[in-house]
Amino acid sequence: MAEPTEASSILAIDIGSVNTQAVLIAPVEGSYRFVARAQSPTTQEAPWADVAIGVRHAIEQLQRVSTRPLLSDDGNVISPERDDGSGVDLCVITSSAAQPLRLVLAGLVGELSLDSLRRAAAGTYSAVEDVISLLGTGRKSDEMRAKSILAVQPDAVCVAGGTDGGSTTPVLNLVESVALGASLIEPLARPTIVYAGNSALRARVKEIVGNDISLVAVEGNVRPALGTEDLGPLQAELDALHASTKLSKVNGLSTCAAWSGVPVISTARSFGSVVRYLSMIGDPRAGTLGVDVGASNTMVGAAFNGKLQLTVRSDIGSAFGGSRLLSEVKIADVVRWLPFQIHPTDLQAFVIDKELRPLTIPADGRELLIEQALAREAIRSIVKLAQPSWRRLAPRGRGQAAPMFERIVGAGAVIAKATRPGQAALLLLDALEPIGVFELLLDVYGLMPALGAAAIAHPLSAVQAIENKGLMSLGTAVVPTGTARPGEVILRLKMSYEGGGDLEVEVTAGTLEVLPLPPGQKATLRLQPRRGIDIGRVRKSIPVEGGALGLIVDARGRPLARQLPADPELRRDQIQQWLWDMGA
Amino acid sequence: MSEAGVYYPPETRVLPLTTIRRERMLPRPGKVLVNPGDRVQPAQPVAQTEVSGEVSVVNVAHLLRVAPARAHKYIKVKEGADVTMNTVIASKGLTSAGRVKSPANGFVYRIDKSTGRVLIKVISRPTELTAYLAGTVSHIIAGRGVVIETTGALIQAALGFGGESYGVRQVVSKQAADPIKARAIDVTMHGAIVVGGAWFDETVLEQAIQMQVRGLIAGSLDGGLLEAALDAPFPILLTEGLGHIAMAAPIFKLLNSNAGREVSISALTRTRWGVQRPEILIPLPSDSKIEPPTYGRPLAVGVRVRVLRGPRQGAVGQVTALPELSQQIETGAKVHCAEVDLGGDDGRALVPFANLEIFR
Repeated sequence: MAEPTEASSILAIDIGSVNTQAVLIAPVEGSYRFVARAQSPTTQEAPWADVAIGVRHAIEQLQRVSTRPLLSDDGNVISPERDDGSGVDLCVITSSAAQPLRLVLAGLVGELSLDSLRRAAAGTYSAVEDVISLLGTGRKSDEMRAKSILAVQPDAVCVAGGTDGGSTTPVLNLVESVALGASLIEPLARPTIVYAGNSALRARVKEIVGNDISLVAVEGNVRPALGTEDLGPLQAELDALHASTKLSKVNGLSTCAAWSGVPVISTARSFGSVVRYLSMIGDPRAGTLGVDVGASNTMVGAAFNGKLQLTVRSDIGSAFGGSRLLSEVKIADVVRWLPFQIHPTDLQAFVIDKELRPLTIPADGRELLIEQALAREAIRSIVKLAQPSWRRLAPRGRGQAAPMFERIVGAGAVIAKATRPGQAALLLLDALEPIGVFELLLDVYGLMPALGAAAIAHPLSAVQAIENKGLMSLGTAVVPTGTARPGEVILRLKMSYEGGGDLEVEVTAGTLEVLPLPPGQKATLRLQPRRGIDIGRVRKSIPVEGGALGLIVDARGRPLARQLPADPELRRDQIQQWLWDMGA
Repeated sequence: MSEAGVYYPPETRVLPLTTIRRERMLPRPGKVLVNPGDRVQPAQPVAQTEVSGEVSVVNVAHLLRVAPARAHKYIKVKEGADVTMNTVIASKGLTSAGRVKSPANGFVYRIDKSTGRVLIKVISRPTELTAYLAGTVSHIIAGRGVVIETTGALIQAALGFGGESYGVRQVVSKQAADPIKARAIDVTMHGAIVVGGAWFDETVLEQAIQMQVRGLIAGSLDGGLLEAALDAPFPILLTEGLGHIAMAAPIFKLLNSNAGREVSISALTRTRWGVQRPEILIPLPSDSKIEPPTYGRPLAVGVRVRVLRGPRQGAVGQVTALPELSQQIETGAKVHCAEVDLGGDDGRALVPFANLEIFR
């Protein structure tokens, strides 16, 4: 295997829970570009029970598409690249196929340490099975606390509580009952105790836990002071725990890992890296938001000037977790995005059927819109969880209800493989309800996991592949908000095309439209909002570039739920109108 | 192979005669009750173990009002010792207030000297593992379980509710597309595994409960009956899934043959991290062992497939062509498709690779 720094051609493999993707990135005319991709079903489950089989299937497809031999006769990746053009210099692997960490969270007070633990746990593939609180709601007796750990048999119990220099005895009592609970479990199945509370107590915690239970004492308190939160060290430990106890147990992954010059990393981490990188391009005050609805997981990453907050939900995805989503949100919340009627039991049957046959794709327009409606609610649900932590990262402007993003990237088949660009754009606008002026991008080639992993060994490859249209631009969106009556002019917009000619539009409240600005065409945008209308912190003249859709002007108002008619028939007509407006 | 490349779809197996092996494992170590070569029946226990009961935590330090670190001095039992309810496990002084008694029958699981607690594991319940399948014990997995082997028919279903069962198979529909009728389930169905063609309604479920059937096999089920199906006192297996879909003709034909034979069914369904599919096993005598076909067959012309999604869901046919280029489907997506001869009114149809499974 060649040294990663010398790499010229890169094979990036992403092993998902349903599909495995192989992507080839190579220098073309002196700059890294996406060359080809191929996909095959993941073979993690019986009868295969070996992900390497599915990876080889995907690479075989990639060989066919790229006409470049990549596998040797013994089924291993050819590396380094040979003079005849076969093989690659670097192979990187990401995976989201592993089970999530099953966690119990234990803290002193729900609104403080436990909330921080929840946010830290959401940064990796995890499922919170139970929550133990020493004070406030959810209080349990010592014995009940221990028994709840025994009942759940988690992979790890995260304990926090006490600021640095603060509470001691209650924290130690909590650790005692957690250790007691862990000791009730058979030695080989005992959970790891991850302590991220009052830093001064680490030695005492070690004594209490003893040698029979594995302890990770995090170098840092998640709540060092009442108003301060530091999730990084705990998130890093949980990520490492997931990699060592779950990712490493994926059958066949070690075979593929032997082809790679860098360690296998989680798809979430790789996705987060790309979002973070994108946030460092352009205005440092504006951020990048990435959304990925995968088969088993939904992720959202918000990054401002290189600082990332990643939130992962391992229990909701486009194939698995539909039933979970329907148990969390009202069925009416999903149905509201559909331009046709559907009986609630048919929707439940739809999600169960998808879990039984996760590889399947929508066979008609109706099924496609149901999948997209479910994706809207999956995103809305994760955003609700993640949004409070974005505020800490974002430099906020006056009157802004949410952090402003200058770039929003949609990933995952249900978004990026929407059959029309308008569907993808509308899905993102409906689910995220962003405001201001921003670019909408789609990861149509499924490059984000590949690029994040490739960037670890070869940063230039990721940077250039993104710059060379690795992500498809849908166009720029302008979303004014404020109070206005439907039909009232709220914004005057003038678009001056680089090649000559102007387009002047009076934007009225309640409308959604797409103005022509094809890919490659440049223009300058001048926006004059009416008094009381917010379009964020934008310059007088905004350079914009065309995209697959054009310039999107979303003046429907926020929150969108309030813009939808209560009458079901009118609501369905409205949804259909929005789909038509976006050419979807 | 075309430019579409080699595609390896998932598989459903409907095998009229094959060798069936099923591993039967205890949830924790125990005792195997049979020997290699023994003939076993579905209800016969083949292994047993004790399922551990609850744990009671006795806070001796608190009850004796002593410091946690000093409590162990007063504890009168040792780890592993059997105790019954009211056995004195700690005492300080001679008064009854100074005695701490076991709250349950069991054994001392752990004494935590640092916290002054005694953990009593409540006495275990014995649990037995049955053979599930009529056959021969081919292997013993010491202390954990057995492998039962037989020859017979194997049918993989799509979705199940409930656990395992066995009984005589009774077919109540004439055609694979006929919904089950409640009146078809009469008193002769008591203790039977009832097989119907297409779907069934609430009245069928109520009648099946009344007649105390041991299982119900149908093509599909209306989504509105999900909760009722989950609550049914017997396993329910659906060969196609939810909705109103007729049972695949080859499955119905196989279930319809050999009427009156005993079948074993498992409704256990797990969709990931240890996928488990519901199954119907029909032991049949055979002079030879026919090994099941190996997995990993690519999609190719001539392969029998079943449609997994869309208006033709459940239809079984043969691949007649694999077009080289991606095809635009009704959603507008351009994907690789197979041309499948579904017979009858459906004729030949283009179906995305992703919406097909090999059916054999």
